Amino acid sequence: MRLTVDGMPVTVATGASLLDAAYAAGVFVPSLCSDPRLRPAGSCRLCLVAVAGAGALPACTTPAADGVVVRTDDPAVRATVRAVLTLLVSSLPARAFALPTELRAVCERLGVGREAFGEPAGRGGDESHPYVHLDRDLCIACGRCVRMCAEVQGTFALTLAGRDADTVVAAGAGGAWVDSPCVACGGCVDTCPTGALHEAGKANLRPIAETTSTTCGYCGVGCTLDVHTRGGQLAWVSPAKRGAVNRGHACVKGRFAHAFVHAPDRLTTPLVRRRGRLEPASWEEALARVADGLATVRATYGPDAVAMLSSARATNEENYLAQKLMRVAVDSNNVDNCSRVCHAPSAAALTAAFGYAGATNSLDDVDLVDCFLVFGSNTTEAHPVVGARIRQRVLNGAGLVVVDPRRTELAALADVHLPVRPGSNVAVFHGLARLMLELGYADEAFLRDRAEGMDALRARLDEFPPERVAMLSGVDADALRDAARRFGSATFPAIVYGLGVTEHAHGTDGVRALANLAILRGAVGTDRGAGVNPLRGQNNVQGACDMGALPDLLPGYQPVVDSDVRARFSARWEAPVPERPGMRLPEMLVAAGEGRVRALWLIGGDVLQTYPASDRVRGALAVCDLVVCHEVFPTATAAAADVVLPVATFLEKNGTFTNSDRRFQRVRPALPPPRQVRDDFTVLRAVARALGTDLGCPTPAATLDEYAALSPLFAGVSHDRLDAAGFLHWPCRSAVDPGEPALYRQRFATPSGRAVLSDVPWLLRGRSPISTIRLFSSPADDSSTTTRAA
Amino acid sequence: MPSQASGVRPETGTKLVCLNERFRSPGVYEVALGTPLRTLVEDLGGGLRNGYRLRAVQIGGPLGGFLAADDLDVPLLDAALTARGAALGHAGLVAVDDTVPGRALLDHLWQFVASESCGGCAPCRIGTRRGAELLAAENRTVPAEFVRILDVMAETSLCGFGRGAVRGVRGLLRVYGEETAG
Repeated sequence: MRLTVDGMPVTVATGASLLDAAYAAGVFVPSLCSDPRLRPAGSCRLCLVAVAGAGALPACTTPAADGVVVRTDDPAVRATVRAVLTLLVSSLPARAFALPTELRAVCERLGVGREAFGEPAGRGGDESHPYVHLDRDLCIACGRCVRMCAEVQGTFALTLAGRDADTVVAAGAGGAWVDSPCVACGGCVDTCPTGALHEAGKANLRPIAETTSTTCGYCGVGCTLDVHTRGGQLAWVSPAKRGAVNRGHACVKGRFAHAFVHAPDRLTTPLVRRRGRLEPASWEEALARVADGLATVRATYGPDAVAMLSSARATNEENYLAQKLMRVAVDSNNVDNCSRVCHAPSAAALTAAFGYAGATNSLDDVDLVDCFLVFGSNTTEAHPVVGARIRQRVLNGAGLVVVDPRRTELAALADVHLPVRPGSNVAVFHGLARLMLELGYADEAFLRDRAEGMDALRARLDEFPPERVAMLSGVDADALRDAARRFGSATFPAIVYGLGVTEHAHGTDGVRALANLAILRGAVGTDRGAGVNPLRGQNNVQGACDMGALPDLLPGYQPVVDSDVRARFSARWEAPVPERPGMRLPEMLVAAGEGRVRALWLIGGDVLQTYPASDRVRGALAVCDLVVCHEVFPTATAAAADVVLPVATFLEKNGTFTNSDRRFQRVRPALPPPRQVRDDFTVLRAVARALGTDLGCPTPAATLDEYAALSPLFAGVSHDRLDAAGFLHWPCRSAVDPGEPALYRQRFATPSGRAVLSDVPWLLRGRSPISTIRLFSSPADDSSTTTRAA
Repeated sequence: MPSQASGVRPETGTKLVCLNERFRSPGVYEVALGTPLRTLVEDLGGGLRNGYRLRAVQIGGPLGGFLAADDLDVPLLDAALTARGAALGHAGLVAVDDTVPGRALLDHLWQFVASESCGGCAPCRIGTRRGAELLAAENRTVPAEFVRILDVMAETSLCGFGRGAVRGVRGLLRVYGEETAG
């Protein structure tokens, strides 16, 4: 639509408001109740504009139309707007003027000063919640918090209570905020224009010195956060309005849970074990202990007696350096990362089914989905920003099938909830596949032209009639039919899954059987669905694997066993790459317990806390000659280490993370680390130097450049491009490749170019899996299976 | 019964009109749209009960408007009433006799408006409360700031409540003039 604002021609999309048009024209229009994330309310009445032939109209609630002539500078309308603002602030106490808020900015812009403010009404506040505090006297009842809670977060915890001038936001049933259903996503605090809702303890009026845009270090969603600091101290964190994934939203973790940075129990000095006790030491001493210990083990027992666990929380560049150090300086492929037990099954199964070890689609596709299948993921708690978006889609009519033993928030919202018995995943997925075939939902053309393995699968599915699956899984056969019908009949279905699928002894089989459903439906690699998408638990699970912190794969998913690949890496690294694939994390721990691994280097992973059979882990750590631990806090594992190196958090790092949808994003240091704390990047380079190896890669940017030069699928990623573009999806094969948010539109990346159906059998818990690793344990040992639905 | 045949195009049909207890013949009457108010007041209502003299008529509810006793030669049509600063509304007629002080009417009407504002938009939410405070603080005049608030509410309120409330009050000020200063 084309219209005119203050004489300037503007073109806006259908559905845009006059306010959108004014902003598009670059014209300031005052407003306190509007927020681009929310539907308009027309509450504050400050955005009045003169519309030719229609008089003064609120711009936010007036739809733009062709040919409309808008003036924002009409003197009479401006005077009216100023009168409205003067009236509005007359109900607020003068302290409202002192806060650095949108209200203050609008007052300054319109020339309304402190004298226009009134007396405190004495309505009190609510400071019951640990993060969200309310000062009722500052509330202007604009309802932005209420709309944020409903339209973006979907929790519906807030309402405007009371009427007339007593109208004020209230949480839940009107009692204490902390007792309300508020999940502390922070959306209300972020949108509040007056400071009525504010972060607890942040009533500091000193100006913000600096704001740094970075990527959240909590989960695999990859929200862009603005970190505000003053004097080297973190002031607060807000979701970036232009965040590619989060679009101005965040969750309790990213938004509020940042006190760890300045926490008193943070490790701030290296520790080394002397006479059995961990004692503070200098970096020189600690690094010498690490280098000497590694050199001694390598010299005495060989390079494969050293093993490293890299971190899915560290940056891509640090993971790249970690694996390079092991391969170049130690001469072993014994490097794995902590996503081994959570999402290694995803990498293996998605590669086998489709070609690449990542989600098939972008999180942006959530906007298009008309039926979600959520398997083993408590999305609203574990990946809240994605969970909220799924919730919004479902509230707007999309179907939802949830497979989870737990009654999660999404399960409660679902059209069909299948509370399957742990261990029955493969049977359930095969049961759904069979039902889809029986009910006629298979995409025969897709199966003929773009998939393979149908005959073998069909034979396997003979074993899984609904009644048997019902018996195995404990869910009703009719509910299975209903689920198959909803997924089968959707026009753009999506499969989203979490650790409830992968974190089993048979996790890879589970992902393969799950992938079958998308293939049968033709909902992957086409415009008829959003494919199969793992929600990665930690922030950089995808990246740690992309970077080659894996025992059998070099950076960019290039096999160690391929001599041509090794030759290329050896040439660039000026050191031979060891030929034999290294140990996976479970094997490392077993080998340590048996004395075959003598030095364990743990970058962040608290294996004593998180790994099954912790008595055996403790034993393995105890018998090692050297256990090195990079940590932020004194964890159980750190307490068992020989050298503890205090390292930086994501808020203090420079590099990149890669989120659940294969998206590279920048991580920028918002704060300097504490004085005796270094980032993993610096530590790794220092240890390599002490071992007599220069790793090259002087900076994170140079590190990513080296990675890109060695990894054809990633050849186009660089810090410069990311700083300019914000994000890049891989594959990204050249400096001009825009990256691929949705994969496989032309062909699958499998050897045949087809999607590969799998006829994996369903196995009883404890039976040897076909395609996954064993943890410790004899085959019948159930302690090796963790049951998670997070 | 009468439909398109009654009334004045485009306001056709009939209207149920309720006359309050101060009329000699209170009750509900069905009349054709376009019937003069004077007919309703004098013929159907029969004027006021003994001992009372008509001062003003409030028409169309609390947000409707006031017309003076000598200003009743107006047809019962929305267009005509709106042109006089009143409104058809629900067309109920409240006769106000001359023993009721104008200021009491103003205070009462504004208290109603202030407590019924839903709080949905800033001008009405705050204007009604602020207006009530101004009237309470100053009963010898109608404060100039009060009149300015009426202007802001009339022009910028989100819904018909805030705008209609102003119409009613302005009608009252027009009919009673100085008397509303108390």
